[in-house]
Amino acid sequence: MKHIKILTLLMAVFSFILTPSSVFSGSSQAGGKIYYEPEVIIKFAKKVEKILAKKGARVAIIARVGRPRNKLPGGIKFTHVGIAVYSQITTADGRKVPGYAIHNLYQRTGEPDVSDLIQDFPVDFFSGVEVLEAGIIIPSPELQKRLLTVIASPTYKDLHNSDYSVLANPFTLDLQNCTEHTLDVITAAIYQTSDVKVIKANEKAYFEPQPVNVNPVKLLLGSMFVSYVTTSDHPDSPVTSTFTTIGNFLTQFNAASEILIIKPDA
Amino acid sequence: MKKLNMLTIVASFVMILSVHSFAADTHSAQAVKEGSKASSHASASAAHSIAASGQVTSAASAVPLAIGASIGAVSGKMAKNLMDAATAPIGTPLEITDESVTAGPPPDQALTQKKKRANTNGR
Repeated sequence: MKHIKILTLLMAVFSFILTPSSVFSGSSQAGGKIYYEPEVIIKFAKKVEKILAKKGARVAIIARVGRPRNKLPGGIKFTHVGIAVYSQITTADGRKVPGYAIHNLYQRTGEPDVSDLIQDFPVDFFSGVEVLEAGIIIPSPELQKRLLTVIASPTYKDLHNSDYSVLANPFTLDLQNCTEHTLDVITAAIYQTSDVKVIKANEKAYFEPQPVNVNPVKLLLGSMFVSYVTTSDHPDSPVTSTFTTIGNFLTQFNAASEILIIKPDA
Repeated sequence: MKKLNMLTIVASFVMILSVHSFAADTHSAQAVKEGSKASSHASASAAHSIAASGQVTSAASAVPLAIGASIGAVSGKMAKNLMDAATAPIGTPLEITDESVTAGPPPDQALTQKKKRANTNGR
């Protein structure tokens, strides 16, 4: 009995040390808290769209910062990644306007260990961020063409695994997060394949993932108490895909035209 | 022993609270909390606040323009400027609407909002 009490004490100390913990911020649709005035978000979202349009991007990888940077694990600068596609948008009152739609993998509200493929728009994408900043990767023209083909094909949905883990291993098939799905779509486009075995083989050969720099005790507690935090799909030290590592991957193999960071006007 | 019992009770309480905040700090958990509340300004969700600003246009659908171009060529329904954009070389500057388009709030929040009158001004 005394041992149990001491163990309880120790676990409480660890829990106290580890809180507040916002390390494990996942990918959610625009239903959470708002941190900026709507006008500020709307203006910023339109700025991002106009920059993409000025650069003639048909497709771009787009990332947002859902949590303050000082609360993110080392090496991780963005918390959610999607694919922005230049589109003909039909408004609710039937008009057709040109703009960007964003293709996302989002956690399901109320079931955070399950994800769905959801399309939204830049205003929605940035609506709940705590840091107003966009990461953009503009793929090379050839990769943009191939990405458009994949996104319009059944492959885009076929590559989706709804079993969600915020720290999903990009080299396995058990669990998936937004960056892994984006990476899989990119790899499918590069190799013009829908074969997930081919996709994973090429990712293992050429993609350098981000080591997960999180205190192992925090990770253990996270996996015990938070359903979408697990390391079960990591045979070795945990690694994951990120906006930065995807950018590095595309840059290394001459598949990125430009990588930029967009911030609000001063 | 009495001191250890007291410490254990306090420790358990701290642990329960810690775990709760651990999960509650995530985006997804916040979305669950916010989504379960009635739509009030004090706890307005991001989507609700954006929609309530009156500065956005709801979207019904979106089709990638490069793909839509081939459909438009057949149906003839695509505006010429959009067709030109869709067929221009990648890297050519594109036209963008000045309107801010939104997908709107998740269904559970949309169900708590009162219906607005349609904007017939048209832009």
